[in-house]
Amino acid sequence: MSATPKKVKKTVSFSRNSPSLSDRNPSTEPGSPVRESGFDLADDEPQLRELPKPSPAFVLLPFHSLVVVYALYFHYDISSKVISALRSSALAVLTLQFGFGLMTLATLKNKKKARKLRSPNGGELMYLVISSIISGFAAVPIFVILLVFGAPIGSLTEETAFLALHLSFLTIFPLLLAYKFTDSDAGDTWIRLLTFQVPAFYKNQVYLQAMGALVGCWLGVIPIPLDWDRDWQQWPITLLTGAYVGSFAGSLISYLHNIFE
Amino acid sequence: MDKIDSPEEQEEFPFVPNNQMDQQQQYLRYMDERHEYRNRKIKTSHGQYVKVMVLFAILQIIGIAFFTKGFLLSRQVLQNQATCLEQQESESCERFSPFKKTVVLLIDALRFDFVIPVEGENADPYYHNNFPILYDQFVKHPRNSLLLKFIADPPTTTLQRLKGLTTGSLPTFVDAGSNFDGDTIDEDNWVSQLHNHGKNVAFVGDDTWTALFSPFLHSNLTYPYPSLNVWDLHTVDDGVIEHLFPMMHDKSHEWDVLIGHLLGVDHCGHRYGPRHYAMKQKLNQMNSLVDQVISSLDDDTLLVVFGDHGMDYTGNHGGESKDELEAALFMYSKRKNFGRLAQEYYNVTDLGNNYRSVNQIDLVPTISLLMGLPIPYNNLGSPIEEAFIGPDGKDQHQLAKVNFLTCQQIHRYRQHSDQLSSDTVVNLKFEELSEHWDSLQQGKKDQLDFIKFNEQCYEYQSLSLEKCKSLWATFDNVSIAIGIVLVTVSLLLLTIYAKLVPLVVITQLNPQFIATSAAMTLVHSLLVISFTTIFKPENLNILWSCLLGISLGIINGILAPIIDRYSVPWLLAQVRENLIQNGWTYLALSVVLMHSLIFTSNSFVIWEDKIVAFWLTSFGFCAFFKSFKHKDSYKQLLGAYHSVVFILLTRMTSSIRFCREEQGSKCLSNFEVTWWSVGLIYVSAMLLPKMIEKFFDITHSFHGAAPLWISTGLKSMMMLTGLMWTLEYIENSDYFNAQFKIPFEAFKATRLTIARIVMGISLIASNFGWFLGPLCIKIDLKSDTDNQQVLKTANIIGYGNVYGSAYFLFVINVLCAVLLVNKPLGIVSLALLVNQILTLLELIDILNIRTNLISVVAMGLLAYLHFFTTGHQATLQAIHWDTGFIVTESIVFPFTHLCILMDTLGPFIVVCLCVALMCLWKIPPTSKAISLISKIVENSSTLLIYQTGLTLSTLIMTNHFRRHLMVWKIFAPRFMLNGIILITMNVILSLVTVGFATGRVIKRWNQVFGT
Repeated sequence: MSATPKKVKKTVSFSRNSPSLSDRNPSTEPGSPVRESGFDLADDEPQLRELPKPSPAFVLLPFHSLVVVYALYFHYDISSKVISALRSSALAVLTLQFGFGLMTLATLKNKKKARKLRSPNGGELMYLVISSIISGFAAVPIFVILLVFGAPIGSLTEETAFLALHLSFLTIFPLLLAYKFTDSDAGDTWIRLLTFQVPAFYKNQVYLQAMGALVGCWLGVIPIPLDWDRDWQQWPITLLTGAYVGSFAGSLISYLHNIFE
Repeated sequence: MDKIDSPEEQEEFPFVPNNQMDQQQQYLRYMDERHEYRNRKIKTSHGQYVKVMVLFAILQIIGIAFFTKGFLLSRQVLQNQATCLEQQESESCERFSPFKKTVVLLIDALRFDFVIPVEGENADPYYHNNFPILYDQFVKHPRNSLLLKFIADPPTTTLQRLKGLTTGSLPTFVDAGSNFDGDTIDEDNWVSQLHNHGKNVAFVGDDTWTALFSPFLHSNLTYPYPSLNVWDLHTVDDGVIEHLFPMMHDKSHEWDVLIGHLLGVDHCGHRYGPRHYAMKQKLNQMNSLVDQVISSLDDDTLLVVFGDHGMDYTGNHGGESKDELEAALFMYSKRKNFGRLAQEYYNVTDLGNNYRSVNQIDLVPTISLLMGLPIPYNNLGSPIEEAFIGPDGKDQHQLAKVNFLTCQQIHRYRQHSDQLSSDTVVNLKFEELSEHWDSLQQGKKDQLDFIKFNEQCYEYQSLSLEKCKSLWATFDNVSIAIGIVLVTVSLLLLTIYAKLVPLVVITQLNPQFIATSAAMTLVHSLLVISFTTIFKPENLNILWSCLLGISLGIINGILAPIIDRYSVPWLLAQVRENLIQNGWTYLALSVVLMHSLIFTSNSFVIWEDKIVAFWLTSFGFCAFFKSFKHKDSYKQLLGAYHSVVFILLTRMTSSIRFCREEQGSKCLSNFEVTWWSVGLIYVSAMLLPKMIEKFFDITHSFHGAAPLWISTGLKSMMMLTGLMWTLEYIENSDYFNAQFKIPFEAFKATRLTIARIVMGISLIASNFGWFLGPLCIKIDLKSDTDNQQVLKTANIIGYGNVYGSAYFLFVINVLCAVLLVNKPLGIVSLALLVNQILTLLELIDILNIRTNLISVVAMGLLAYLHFFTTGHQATLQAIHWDTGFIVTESIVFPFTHLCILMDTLGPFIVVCLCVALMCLWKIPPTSKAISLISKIVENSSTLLIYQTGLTLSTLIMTNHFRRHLMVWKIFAPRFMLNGIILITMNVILSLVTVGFATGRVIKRWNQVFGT
């Protein structure tokens, strides 16, 4: 008889259904409180399969990002004529990215052999071309995300579209080089890449490069509202700069992290 | 849905032996006692939690009060009255005009470009070129009339303007808050001077005048009309017209000065904005009124027509934009009396941008001198040149005379003021001036000499004015410092209380907090009061020292038991243990930090609405990616889905915009009452209850009281609100007014009735119903025949969300009232807010961040986002005064004030209520009720920590920027908003969220099921 209500209590017990509510339970030792699942994935989450990690290399540092920023400001004069600078620089930027792609592919491939660059074969060229096209299409969802984040709807559309394109080539393109869509487990890998389920991401140079671009772009909004009345505060110059600088910084951080460990 | 065995299972044992029966009874008695004991315990600790929260509330309110007292200081007012003996060394003053009588017509909010001809694409059909008579007269009769641009000193509110226009002194910001109740003016002014000199002042119009000047107005000739009902365009104006002409014609011998104050234009602006056909009608009416007044003037009467301020493009005022500051001044007489300066001064092109302007305080010496009165003692204005240089514009001698009189009075005032007397630069300038005047008196009088002298006079006057303006932002540093320290300490204490000390300990410590605080309050009050009585510091009187004592007592009372038990290093260690749980907390801390830092720059404050939306979207994205770390793949998708919904709702909400003036051309407002926005109310009335139902269905909670509350109650309340706005829209639309003859009275009566019904139901009836304890569960009785045994089971459907669903009904009660007082797009925004909150609650459940800082921060950000998207900005002119008249026709305490408060802070109120849901939503009944209450208190206090951080930041930054150009325009209003939000949050969280609703829900469940 007396057991029945107790049983009821157990089945609906509080701590079972919502562990967080008991995380400051006195019964827990002060030294080891029940912690919610953190970013460190060691605790209670399913152990993720290690993603193949591109080994760090100095050659993988995207120095061309800095070149692009420099060229945009001083060669194309983006501050005074935004849209025409974006248009005229597009081809050059694409070429630079393509070149970087060739170099990355070669570096990643030749890792095991002595670091000797060799000219790419036809398959690799084909892969690069297709990757560029995919990156081009990936700009569409990025464009939508930019709109969701508050980019103006109905005005400055071309600027936003260019920004999306640049971002796509800073994030999707390098990842496509490291994680080929021709691999057998590409689908699973890419789902995990896109949902940020990458263990030890800070050691992954290419991945951190892409992340750096996003973070840089996110931080790039900061100067926009300031009332300094500078040309370079125009949409989307600061975001573009942030993305390029961020992508270099991300790559550099990961590289240094790997070296000094 | 959890399936449990119910007590009815006892029926399985119909034949129980007697001794077992006894055992059972004993057991039941034991259970009863235990139950009662537990209930009593819950009640006591709940009460203690509420009391401690009230203590925190008192501490914070005192802190803000101290800062406000020190920051919003007023200037030094001298009580001296000017006399002719002092100024002109004779019994009566010289009159510098032939006029014996004056008619003053004040047309509230008469912006300058309303009265000048505007051509081309700038011309607006509604408010331009509809009041041409002033400029026509100015052009046709140059010697009889004068039209000038009339610059107000901010704040551009009527009370402050009236003070400035009669005393000639500068306004102070603190007065702006007391726009509702002006006390009789005690500074010297020309109305009291008229009275003192035996002149009769007749008055008709805005009753602000009677509040300020009633002792000086002729009691038989005073016809005041209520002024603050901004929805009423005609009563005051009709009253003025009704009384003005009889007084001008028949009773003209009874008065010397006749003042009429017309409010129609101002109210039209508040209600419809300038771009409305009602504005055209109003301006045309003013035009014909002035026409009639001019034709009935006699030769000895001067007519002065002016606006006290302008209006911005929304029709509101109070700030310091160009449109708000520029009013019109018109003077006219049948005698030729006015001169002209060079023609290029009167350039009406480009909306009169380069037109000659005078300060509003310049009217004071001008009117005094024209009427033969002494210049009011505190006056800082200059005489208006055209009024004294004679019809030929050559009488520089007379101008020099009045100029010197004015300068002398300014000098006298400066010498009497402690703050001003020591300014050597200005004093030196005056000495030069007197020497020059003396030499002019002796030497030969050349026109050029006089011109030079007059220039020197104007220089002195403007220098003196500039110096006063910069000096009168004086602050009481001691009070400011006390305020900042108190708020800082309250922030630290709240953090220790809510996040560092374990909750169980807090529950035990609460009685100690209360007892120690009570004792310490007495001790500290005594100490501070005796300090005050002995040392008599100039910043602290008995009342304030008493408040200081109370706050010190509370600090001591809360700190003592904590310090008694824990050391500082232990508390610091707890930061890592308790406050920071995972990456989410870092994100939350960085958002709090960034939000506090935006007050360091005026640009960020201006764009806060966009910034807040950006952070919320970022939170949504983080939640999206974080969802994929969940173990359960179904939950992963669910989390991702809710995140996406949250992001999209945020984007939708942030596309409702109400721009502040500083945002300029980069922002286009769409917060208007239009046919589609009214239509959207009905759409939300259909959708919102459906959405809430879907969220209830997740836990099978849409049973019991829920359908009544949500499908019937909420929907019908929203429909009624929609109906009210439809009536309001039809009443005001061009289209319907042109097509039909609208029975305005019937419409108004219906509108008010609907509003009162909704208000009554939502705040009184439904809360009464809720207090009786509705639950959203259904008991499903089943009997199964299994192996010849009858098994009776009871399923409690909705068991998984008993607290949350019942609590949410209370949120709906308050929501209805908040919806009622919001404008159409505000209603849409609030409907989205409820949706976002429910989505967020699901996310919190999936991501398991119930007591994480980030959930509270996300809630707080939601409140801010919707503060902006319900059509508000952190400026005085963005307050929706007109919503105060939704429930009542005139100002009725407390309904009008309550409505405006609920309209302005509606999102904050809703969010404060929903904070409790973070721990109540989707949890089954618990046996640890006290722990549940303490978690709710923790979350409520965390929201307070967030807001206190923001408020503290504004206090510091506003104080830091007190000499900043933008302080009164941007920082001070933001600080006032933050102060009011913090106070409201304290009150709502301690008394309503924790005190009333949480306690009720938890106790009710224990009463019913007694777990």
